[in-house]
Amino acid sequence: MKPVKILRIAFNMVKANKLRSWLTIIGVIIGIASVMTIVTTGEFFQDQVTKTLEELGGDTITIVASVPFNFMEENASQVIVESENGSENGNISGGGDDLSNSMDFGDVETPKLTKMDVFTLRRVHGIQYINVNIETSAELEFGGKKTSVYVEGVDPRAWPNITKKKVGEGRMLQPGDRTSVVISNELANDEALGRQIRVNQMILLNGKSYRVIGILAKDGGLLGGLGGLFGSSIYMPYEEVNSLSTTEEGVDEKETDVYDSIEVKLYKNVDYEATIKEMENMLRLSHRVDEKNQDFYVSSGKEEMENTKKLINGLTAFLAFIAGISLLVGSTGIANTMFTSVLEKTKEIGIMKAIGAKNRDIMLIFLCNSAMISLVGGIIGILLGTAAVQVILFLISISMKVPFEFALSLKGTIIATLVSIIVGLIAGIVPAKSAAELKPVDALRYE
Amino acid sequence: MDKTLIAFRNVWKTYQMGEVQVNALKDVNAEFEKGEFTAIIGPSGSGKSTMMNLVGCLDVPSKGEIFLKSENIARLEESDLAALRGKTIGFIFQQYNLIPGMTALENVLLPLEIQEIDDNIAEKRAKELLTLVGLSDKMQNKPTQLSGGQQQRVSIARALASNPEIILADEPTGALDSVTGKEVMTMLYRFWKENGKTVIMVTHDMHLAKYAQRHIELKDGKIVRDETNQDQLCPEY
Repeated sequence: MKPVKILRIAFNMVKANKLRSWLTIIGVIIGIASVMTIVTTGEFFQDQVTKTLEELGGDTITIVASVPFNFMEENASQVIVESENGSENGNISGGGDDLSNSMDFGDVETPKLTKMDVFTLRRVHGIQYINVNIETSAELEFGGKKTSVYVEGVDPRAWPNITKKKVGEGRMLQPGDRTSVVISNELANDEALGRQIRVNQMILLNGKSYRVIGILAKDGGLLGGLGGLFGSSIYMPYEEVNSLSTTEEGVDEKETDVYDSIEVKLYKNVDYEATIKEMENMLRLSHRVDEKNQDFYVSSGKEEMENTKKLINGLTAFLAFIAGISLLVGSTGIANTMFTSVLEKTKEIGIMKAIGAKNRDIMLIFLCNSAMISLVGGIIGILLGTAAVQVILFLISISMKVPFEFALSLKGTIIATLVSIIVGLIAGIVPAKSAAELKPVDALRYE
Repeated sequence: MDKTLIAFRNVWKTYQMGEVQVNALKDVNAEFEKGEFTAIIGPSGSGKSTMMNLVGCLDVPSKGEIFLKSENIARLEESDLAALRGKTIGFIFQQYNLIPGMTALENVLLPLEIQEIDDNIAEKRAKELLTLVGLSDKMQNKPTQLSGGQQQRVSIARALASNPEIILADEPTGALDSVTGKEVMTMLYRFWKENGKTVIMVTHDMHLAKYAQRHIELKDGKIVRDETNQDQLCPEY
């Protein structure tokens, strides 16, 4: 039989049982739509989280000083090492000459990152920028009003190239800036100050006067709505932070050339993992530590990003699996309908066989029948899924205060389409086969 | 030998009815010649329907051989049987067996579509046949919109559509009143007479059997009588 005729007969079969066909189609629609919705929503979250993490410095590597994980153990063993070796101890300052009271373990120096580490890192190939961070808080005075602010000392030569923050008004810090600061958008519009801080205005930090040369643009992304983690922030050359005198509350004056963290940005196309390894090795050498008593921690944003991605991926896969169950139920529905249909059409199958229809013809008719059901279900499911995704994303964008964007997962759509076709074929193939294999004489006798 | 269209050679047909084996046909030997109008008669359970199914290639014998145009159907695959059926045999059933979802025209077109005959030729032929059986004005009607006689006429048109050599009629008037039944039989007779087709009709009605040239009587799965009908009824048309 010609394919056109087979399709026509199959279509008439679908049409002849409208209600049953639609009920079956609905099952497929729900399955496909839920798979699509979940996959697309999952991808959206992944994108958002990636974007946010990137904004927080996704591709920068941060080094912080940290107490070795097995510090206590190390303490005990050091006694022995110390007594045998004399000079080998867990020096953590990086300088070799200030080991004075190493025998006194009650007074072990807290781990530090110093200028020495910056020099060490400069020798690592693949590093493009090195920024140092010194964090403190200070009291800001502007127009007679005071507020407490977070101050971040940065390297004006490197920071503008590393940070994901964008300047909204004025300019970024430049090499040579001394008493210039860049402030966050939130601080510029801080209501506690009574009026807006504008570019080129002077502010007092712990009584010392600074010029505002730039105001950062408002943060976007997932965390933008939260006003940024550090709402009222001031960025200034790190040397200046040291000269901010302590406040009355007694904030420690920052030690010169000791940094809270070092941020590193690599050249593009550099082997990321290998460079991190190299960095770690060099720092270990200069700190005279090994992997066990390492007194610094290298955190790569990329790694965190990958981990988060993996987590969301896993979650999406899990939810998609649950949605897949509804697709499975939908496909069982197709199989059920097809079996009923075969039963109902037994006599017709007999007639068709009597007048010359081959097994293949009968099989194709029933396969086309189920393919049509799953195809219609698939198409409507994809449309409905797309609509559902937009609604969900719209609601998410409202609650997270991010701009709504149309999103459709190509992967989700392809999966849904393929699955709908495969499901239709699999669900149809067994009933179609049983229809085709009916003996004409039995089929004709069937009432 | 040339004239023999169908030959049964020691044909047995056994059905398994639960625990019991039923021999529907026991060692049947028969030949049907080209252009013959044969009536297979016998009471219900005599095996005549089984015989018809075998002639119509709807079933294969349990034992023995059946030759249709010198081809042993017992050795054919289902798809070959289907092809053979489609080309060689036209069925007329007691219950008409039209496809309910299709119009009269579509029903007649179906065997031609299965044969993959060109659409235009098929449609022309189907319309001609429906006109011939007097249903030119009912072509677009579905079976439910037709009377029993009309449905059987559609079924005759369908049986003739692919111009088969053999027409198999199973109690063709069984579901019709006597007047309509007579009409249908006249039509069948006419096609036999005019086109030289081989007609094999299964019936338990002796009156119907009168239209046939030859009578084969079955009883308990065996041929008990096989003779030429001396007083064949030749209806006027």
